[in-house]
Amino acid sequence: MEVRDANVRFSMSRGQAWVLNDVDLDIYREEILAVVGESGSGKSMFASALLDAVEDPGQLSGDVTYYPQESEQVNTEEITSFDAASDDSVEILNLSQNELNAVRWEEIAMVFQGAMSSFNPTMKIEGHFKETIRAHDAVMSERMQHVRDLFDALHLDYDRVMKAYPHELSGGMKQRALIALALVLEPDVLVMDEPTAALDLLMQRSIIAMLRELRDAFDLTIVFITHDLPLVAGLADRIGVMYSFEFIEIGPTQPLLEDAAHPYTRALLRSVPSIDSDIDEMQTIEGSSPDPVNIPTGCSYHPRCPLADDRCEIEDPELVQVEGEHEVACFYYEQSANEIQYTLHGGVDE
Amino acid sequence: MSADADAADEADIDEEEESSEEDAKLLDIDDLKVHFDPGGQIRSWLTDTKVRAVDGVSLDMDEHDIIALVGESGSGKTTLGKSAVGLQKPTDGSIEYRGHDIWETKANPRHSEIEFSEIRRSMQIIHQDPSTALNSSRRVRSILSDPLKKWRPELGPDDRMETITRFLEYVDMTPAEDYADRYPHQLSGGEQQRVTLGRALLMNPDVILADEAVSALDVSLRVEMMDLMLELQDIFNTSYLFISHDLANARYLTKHADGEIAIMYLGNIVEIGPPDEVLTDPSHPYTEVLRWAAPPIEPEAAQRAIKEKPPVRRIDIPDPADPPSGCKFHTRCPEAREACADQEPELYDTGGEARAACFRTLDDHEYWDSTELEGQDEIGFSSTNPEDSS
Repeated sequence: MEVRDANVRFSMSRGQAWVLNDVDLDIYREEILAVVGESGSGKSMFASALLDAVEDPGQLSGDVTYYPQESEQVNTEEITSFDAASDDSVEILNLSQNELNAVRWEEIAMVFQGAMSSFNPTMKIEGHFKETIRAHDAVMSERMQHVRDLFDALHLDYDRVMKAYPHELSGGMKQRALIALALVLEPDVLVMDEPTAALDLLMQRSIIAMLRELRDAFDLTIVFITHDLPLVAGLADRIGVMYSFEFIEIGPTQPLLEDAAHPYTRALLRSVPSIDSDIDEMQTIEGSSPDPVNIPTGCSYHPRCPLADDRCEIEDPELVQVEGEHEVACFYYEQSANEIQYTLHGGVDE
Repeated sequence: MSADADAADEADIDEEEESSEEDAKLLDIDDLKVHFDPGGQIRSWLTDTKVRAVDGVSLDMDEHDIIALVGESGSGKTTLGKSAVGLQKPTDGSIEYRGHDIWETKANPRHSEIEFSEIRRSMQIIHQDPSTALNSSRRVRSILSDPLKKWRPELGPDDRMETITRFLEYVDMTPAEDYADRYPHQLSGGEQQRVTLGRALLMNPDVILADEAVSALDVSLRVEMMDLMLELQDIFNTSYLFISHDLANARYLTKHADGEIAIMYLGNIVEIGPPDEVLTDPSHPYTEVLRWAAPPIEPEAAQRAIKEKPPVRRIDIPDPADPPSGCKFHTRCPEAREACADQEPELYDTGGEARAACFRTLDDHEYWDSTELEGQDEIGFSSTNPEDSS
């Protein structure tokens, strides 16, 4: 998938709010990309943009292109507005409502934060699956067999869960059933917006472990959106850090965590309580995230950044290469390692 | 800074009469049980089963103390917390505040030396979700002036405003005049939570129950909030009963303040002790499970950790209305043997300062001679469902 120049704007009485600012990003097939940011950093808006699901009065502009798997023939009767030049890519933002409905769930599925409210309380879990399958004209028996496989992979008891009403299940079971529901039509891409935020840590970790297995078993591409950096450290192949509606650093997990280049990422890593970290080393980030109506000029992190100078106030840094695929949007990333120091603690087996 | 003087000023409202009771524990919980009837009236007539949310917990709390209760949802940590501050009537057992039984005081106000409202005042609570804990249609100023009107009626409007300003400054909300005029929705989540902390401290409480007080905040704001709680603990000399499902937060707070971590499972405390001991050398298998659930951030270790199976045999917690026999953890415990299904362990000394409710801490227990529970491998993590073996 490719995202180019994605912008989302909200017109508000206080002025125009940019909640997604010129985001360019490629998502590779069968990778797990984690998008990390504070509340109000635009990470959920990014997820909505992938599916053209930005709610009114938000205005989305730019290009979101989806390249289906080559082996798989996309149903051409449903999707007619193919780009003539690139024969089997799909411009998500140009699709009509019907085409969009077909792409969602069949190609790109989404799991939202509140599993509790995603199910209809008066309908058994089974009903939700059947309704979805029917709405997309899929073969019922074949799909239900697939659901059994999914339930096994998610450690759910098929017979018990299917016959239950949503309120009879625990939060963790509901969230897992919801993941199964999202995957029922075998999409290629799964977008998850804080899928574990309302759950216990133990359940969060179990779901993370299952996601990894699911990815391998069903050839999924997963976009995982969260504010919890330690949670995804073991899961993600790549991590993108968002600050003030832009990606400020993106790269493969290991170099990004071990050698974070952006001052914000480094400060974030220093402020996160982890079970092994030295508590005296921890420091919070000064200041607060910017107001979407009133984003600072230049680099939006400059008011909180210890490295900032006049140039940062005027010029907005572009993403530049650090090493390999590791990119950062900072003029002075080479000095950040000296200015903001942190150590990662990970010894699970001491 | 005149903070200490101010705090002392707040404190002397009630300190005099209590000085004679200094030797009594601030909070002494003894064999506390809280049971709930399931469902509605009719269902509770038809069945004898009770949900045993808290099932025999004893806990002491000193002044200027921090105890972190850690457990999964359904472990009874919130119910225990609410009972401890006198919000939930226990089914059995007692809670004493400075030597006075809380519920006895409430039931027989004439025979007690201390008023129930006095106990209530000295125990405050901070909830998980600050946006619902603050009245959305009132300004911060009026939200904070209510408790003052009730408990410090001698203050005039100007004094009241001055106190509010001072407390907003305590919780780092400056300029205080500006924040006092805002409505809750004009504050960020972290600021809202600081208002609730300020509101709790206005009462000059002895104990603050912080029920998942930092869980709703962004990861990057949690340390800031906990630092503030620690700073204010020194100024106001309060104790915290900190409820969390996150060991990393519990560790941060208790380690800084020399407190204790108590691990709860299905209504019982299964391990309690100083954070270093409980976390680096857990004696109870359940503590190890929670330890596994707190991920390391170092990428290589994290990669390894994610491939490790959780040290439990089932990932879902059993129904609290129908808890397992014997040791309640035995259905999920990887170390469980026959003896665990029959007998219920108490909290035993582990050799260090911690205590744990597991037979494995006793060298001469019959556990060591009993056979391992059958079917252990069948219900392992990778195959909750027997059909999955293919």
